[in-house]
Amino acid sequence: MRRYETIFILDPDLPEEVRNQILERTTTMIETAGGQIAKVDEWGNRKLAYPIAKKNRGYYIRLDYLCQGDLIFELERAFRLDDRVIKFLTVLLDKYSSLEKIEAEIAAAEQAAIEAAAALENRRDSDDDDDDDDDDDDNDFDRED
Amino acid sequence: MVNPKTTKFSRKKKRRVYHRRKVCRFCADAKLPIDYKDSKALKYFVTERGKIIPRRITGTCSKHQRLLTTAIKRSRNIALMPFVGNVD
Repeated sequence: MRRYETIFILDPDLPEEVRNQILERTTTMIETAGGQIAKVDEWGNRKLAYPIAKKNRGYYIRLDYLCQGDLIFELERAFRLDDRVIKFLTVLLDKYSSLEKIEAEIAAAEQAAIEAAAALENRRDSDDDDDDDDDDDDNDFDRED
Repeated sequence: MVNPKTTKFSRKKKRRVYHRRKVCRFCADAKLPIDYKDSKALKYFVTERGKIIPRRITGTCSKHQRLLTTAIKRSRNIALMPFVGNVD
């Protein structure tokens, strides 16, 4: 099955029950169509980079799931009809994926994070000079004209 | 009176501007992801006005610049980054 990721923004003034109801409706829609949900990620109320529907904030929800491609049309149609959803975006992450594959990926990412943290700890212990270690160029505009 | 020889010399000197070889940040560190959800990381590749900075300035390679542009555009779509104006 294909792995998709949908982010949708809800009206920030909605009460929690209504929010949960919309989320539940979406998840049941995916599940009844034979999809599998890998992760529901609620980012909460965030500031929008530009106002949408006269709102400066929005409630972000990210869904990571597996389903067939035709479900996306239905899902987005439902979003479009519902004016409590102010914006949505669906991205195809992987054309051939499975729940096991996603789980393995998450486990690998966690392992990598632990290793990175350990490496950082080691470096901090051995690094006792106080000069700036990053070598990125701060002024990116020094071009030659 | 200006000696034409010296003026010619100085002009030649001016042409030689110190040039720093830029490396693609994403090629240098293969672990560095390009993610449209991570607007903080993408912020370095847009101007204060929110325009995408060309790769001749940032030094990103064409493959990664392509990924970057789609990431920035997706990010704009879902209001994580502005189409116009400041990123905060």
